[in-house]
Amino acid sequence: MARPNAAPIPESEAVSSLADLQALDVLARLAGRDSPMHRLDARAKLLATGAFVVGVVSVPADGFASLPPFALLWLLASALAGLAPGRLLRPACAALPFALMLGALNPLLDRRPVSLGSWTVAAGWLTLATLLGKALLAAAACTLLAACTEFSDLCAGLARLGLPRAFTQQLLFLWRYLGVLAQEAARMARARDLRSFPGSAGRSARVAARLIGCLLRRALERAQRIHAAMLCRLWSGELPRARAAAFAGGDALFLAAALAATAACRFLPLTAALGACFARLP
Amino acid sequence: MRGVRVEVDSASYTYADGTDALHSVGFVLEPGESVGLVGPNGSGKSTLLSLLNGLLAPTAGQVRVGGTVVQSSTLSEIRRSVGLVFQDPDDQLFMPTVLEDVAFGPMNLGCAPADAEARARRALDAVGSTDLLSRSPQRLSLGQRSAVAIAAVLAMDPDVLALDEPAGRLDPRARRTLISLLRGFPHTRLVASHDLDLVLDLCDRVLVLDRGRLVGDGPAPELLADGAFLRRHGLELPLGLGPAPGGTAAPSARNVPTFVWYKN
Repeated sequence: MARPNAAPIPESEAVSSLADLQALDVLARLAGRDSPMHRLDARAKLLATGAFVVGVVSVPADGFASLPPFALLWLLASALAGLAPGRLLRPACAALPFALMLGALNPLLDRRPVSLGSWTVAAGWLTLATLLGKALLAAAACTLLAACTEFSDLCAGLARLGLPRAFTQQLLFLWRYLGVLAQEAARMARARDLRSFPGSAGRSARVAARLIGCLLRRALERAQRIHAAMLCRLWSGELPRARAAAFAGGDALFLAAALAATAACRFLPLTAALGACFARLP
Repeated sequence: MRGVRVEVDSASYTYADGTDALHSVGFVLEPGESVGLVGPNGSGKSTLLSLLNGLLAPTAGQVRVGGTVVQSSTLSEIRRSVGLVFQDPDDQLFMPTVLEDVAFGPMNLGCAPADAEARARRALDAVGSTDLLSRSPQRLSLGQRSAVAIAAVLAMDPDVLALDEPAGRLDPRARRTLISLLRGFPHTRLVASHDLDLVLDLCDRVLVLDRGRLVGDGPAPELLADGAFLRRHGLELPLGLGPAPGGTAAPSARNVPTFVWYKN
């Protein structure tokens, strides 16, 4: 008999963590698009992103006023990539809880009064806001990079920037099998949920531990099969090199512009200049 | 050269934990022959396939491919010659794009990148998947992944194809496509499967394994029609040869050739 008001089946934790992976998948799909940013060499984008992150992170603890120019620069870059800022910010928010954990006590510990226009607040609030803003901007820069560069190009770029190939190969394998493993985990969690009832031991830590152990064993078995498949195709210890793309003049131009803009955001009083511009408007 | 002779000479294999997976198994595959390998779970089918290209070395006996003994000094030659297609295509497709994955084998063979790419394109063409070139294996359907996994092996230009449960989880249409694809290959083929209808469609001859022993070796239409023999070894008649649910013989095109009436 149909029960129109039946409660929906609650999503298990594994399924919701699968949703997090879907966020990654969204970024990967965006990376397959085409735009001037997408066409740039991965190395140029990697270095520009690195400089941007260093620029943001080096802003002093109470330098909230220096962040808006960085945000504008980021908006400009995402517009160049043809990507909606909202879609990039959502996955970037994953960094916020960590920043919050670090700075949650600032308002209590640092109670020096600071005046913001006509308001006076504890300096701790300002440092907390700066910390959150810095974390969000740094993470947003990374999601933008991930959303306009194919992961394999990113790994090839990292390798050509001198990162050990063993490391970039591990990243590639992680990327390839993360989804496969997550699906396996979700299937196991669903099988557990289907056989556990309110009040039963189905959700106990012991069952969860067994589930994780089982997942680890399956991952190991899969790794052995993949290794066997690689041996079958005469793998000798190194993945064949991907096609080497040349670092073109456009890439160099982009990198120079990005570095200059980042330096300007960090070292020039752009916020004050912007404010003065707005003040002069009739 | 295509299709070489494969000789398995009283090969045995015992796993490290003492499991006796194969016990003195011997047979010969003639060049270009398509042979089915059937048997219940745990009968040693996958172990036998692993012996063919030296993923496992027999604890006793010998395997020869085209006259070359499978041993550690001949492994790279053997693995070029024997292409093993795994049951789960996810185990086999690990590169970021289909083209890179199919070119992986040729690159390891020492081909120049352009040459490897040309071989990969030819192999993908052979399985009708050239349109998937730049796709990521994660984003393909199971049927597409199976086809690409076969292309990845074909790109090595093998003489022998060893397939482990090739249509395991495919839907009927993908399974049918795969069967007609495999039927057209000139290689010596050994197809391990529970799907006896697939074996009947693909193979003229069938080997039956049970608990590590070779218990049957003969023409597929005869061996797979022997219900008592199959049941004894944990198998059932293929649907194409079995009795209809009502108990009468199935009006299958196989055992009731319709042209009989026209002839008389």
